[in-house]
Amino acid sequence: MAYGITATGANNIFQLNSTLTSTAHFAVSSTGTTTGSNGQIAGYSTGDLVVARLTSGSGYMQSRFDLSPPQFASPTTYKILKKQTSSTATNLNGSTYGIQVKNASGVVIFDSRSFANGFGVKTIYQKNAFSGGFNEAGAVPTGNIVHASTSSADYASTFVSVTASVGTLNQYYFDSSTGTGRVLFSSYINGGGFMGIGTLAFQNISEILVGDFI
Amino acid sequence: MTTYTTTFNLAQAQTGVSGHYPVLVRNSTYTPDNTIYAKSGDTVKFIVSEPAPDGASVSYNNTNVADTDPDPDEFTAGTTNQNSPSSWEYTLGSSAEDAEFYWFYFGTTVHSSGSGKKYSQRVRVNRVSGSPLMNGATSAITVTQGGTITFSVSGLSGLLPSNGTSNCLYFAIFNAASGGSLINPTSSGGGWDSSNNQLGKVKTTDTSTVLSIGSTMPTGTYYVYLTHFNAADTPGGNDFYGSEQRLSTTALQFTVQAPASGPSAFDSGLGNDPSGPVNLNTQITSDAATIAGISGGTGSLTVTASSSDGGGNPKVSVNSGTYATTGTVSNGDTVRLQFNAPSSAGTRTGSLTINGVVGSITVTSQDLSGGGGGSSGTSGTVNYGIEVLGPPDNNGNQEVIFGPNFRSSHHIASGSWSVNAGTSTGSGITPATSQTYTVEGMTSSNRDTVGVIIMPDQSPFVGFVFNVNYLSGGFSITNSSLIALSGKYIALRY
Repeated sequence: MAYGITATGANNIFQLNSTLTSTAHFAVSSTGTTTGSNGQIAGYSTGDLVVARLTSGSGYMQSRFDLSPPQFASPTTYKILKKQTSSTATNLNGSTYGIQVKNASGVVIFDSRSFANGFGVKTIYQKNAFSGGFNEAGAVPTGNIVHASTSSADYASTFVSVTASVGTLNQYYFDSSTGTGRVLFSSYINGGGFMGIGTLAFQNISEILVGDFI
Repeated sequence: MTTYTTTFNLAQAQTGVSGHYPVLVRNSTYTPDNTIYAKSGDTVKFIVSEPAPDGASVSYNNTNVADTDPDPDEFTAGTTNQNSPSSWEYTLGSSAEDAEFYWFYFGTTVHSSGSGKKYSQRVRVNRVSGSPLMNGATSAITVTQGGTITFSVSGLSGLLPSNGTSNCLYFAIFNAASGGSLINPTSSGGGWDSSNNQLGKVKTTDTSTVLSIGSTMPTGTYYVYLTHFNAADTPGGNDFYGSEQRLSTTALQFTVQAPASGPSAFDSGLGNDPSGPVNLNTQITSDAATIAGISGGTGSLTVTASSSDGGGNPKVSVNSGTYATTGTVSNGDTVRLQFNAPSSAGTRTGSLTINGVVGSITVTSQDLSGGGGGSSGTSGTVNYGIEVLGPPDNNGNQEVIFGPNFRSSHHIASGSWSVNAGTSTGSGITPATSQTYTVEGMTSSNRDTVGVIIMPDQSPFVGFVFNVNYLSGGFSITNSSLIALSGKYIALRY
């Protein structure tokens, strides 16, 4: 690299690289909670990454990103990560100090002032990593454990990506009653009695991110 | 104030020749270099006789060979004479000349040679002073069985150099401030580092000594005095620790208590072990366990964090405070264990230990990623990279919200995708391949760092009829259905 800045973290995790042309930090821009049933997400735009968790206790967390604005069927806490650009730069984390990185085109790809919280990715699951099934009641965990919490505190801070969740596919069940808590993958189609189809399990159709919100 | 009386016969030592006026030594083991020690305010009294069969009178010699000041009260001028037994005394003050003095005596019987006197002797008195301290102070302390106390003397003066046994001061322990019995710490499993008996010793070259409190030393309050050796004939009593020899009238006071017992088991309060393997180097934070069942002692105990292999940086937080390797807990306090899972596949147990009671969490590390979606995770300690701290909380603490040990996510591309319907062949469907969608940095095999989240516009049913093909520089979607598909995507780097 003839100029610019690149930063690599432990085990070669990607931090920053101003020589890339389109890669920009996904900054946590807002957080919110929904209450009751079918609460709508505020501040979401296409292209945003949304991570969420059931606000408390155990239960099925159904996200509806096939709706506009997206909804959560039950009380949910969510975070919206927006691509870092010049227009998303704010002063959440200081105003007169910090570091701002632009790429070769002069586009802001990182601005330390623009986020006051972080979403640390703990695990990434590839498409079809989970077998799916009807896990709304916390059953059928085999092959569907997205995250086994190490403590109740870990459980309470774990968020999963929900942007690909539609209908009953790519959903999650938060189970605080088993061990120190866990998150199960739930993805199914209920064909009812039609032609004896019953409940069909579907694998995750997209990558899943599991992380801590700090 | 004490009167030290020493009665002696003059030595047969001809005056005027070498060896005259030998120093009177009453105890060649403990005070071999002087006659007696005394303190400011004490009276020293010497009853001196010329031995039989001569038995003549005794003269105090205010010699000009050595400074004899202060002189005894009985001295008038020049050479003062008394019949045997003669008596000479003086009360020590705090003046500099009272710090040490010699008194010279000779008998009036003439030596057989006709030159000089037959008998002579001198006494050497040293005024000793010093302030006893206990752990550097004089205030009362409490010590647990098995603990230690350091006794020392400050401002020591007047003590002559020691050969190890001689010229020492002594710390003696009693079970009452006045009277009481001498306590031998060795009988309860303790003792002094300066002796193997009941007395601690200090000397000019080592003014401190450590008392180890034995595990069976009875609980209660003890009193310690610092004393000098008494080589005089009177007062009687013990020459080492008699009350008259105390350098201070106030005892140092310490109370022995039994060590705290407990706590009750607290392992369950830390929460269960993770129900499954965790990501490499995952930071494990336990639940907060509430401590109970501590009794006795000071009511507090030390909590120590450790791990089965010494790694993982185990720490403890007491009452949600700062994480550290050790802390102090009392009943009602909460403790939380934090450590890192192994950075390679394996098991590690993190533990908190309080007075031998252990609470632990065991965790197994392994790569949890599904398929090729590996989790390179974060591990190790790095001293490079960029770190961003979040705003301080109410306590001024700041969390790392972006850093080299923090795997953040990055937006690469997002937009819409569409793919034509497949073609029926009668016996099956020939998929239609959409155009490629550019994703900077994507390869066919780097799902652990670059991925894409796919959202179909159609019914969720379509999830099983398309397939994402990861390519160099992007991805494409294969449609195995007979309807056209479309949706949104977000490409990520993490």
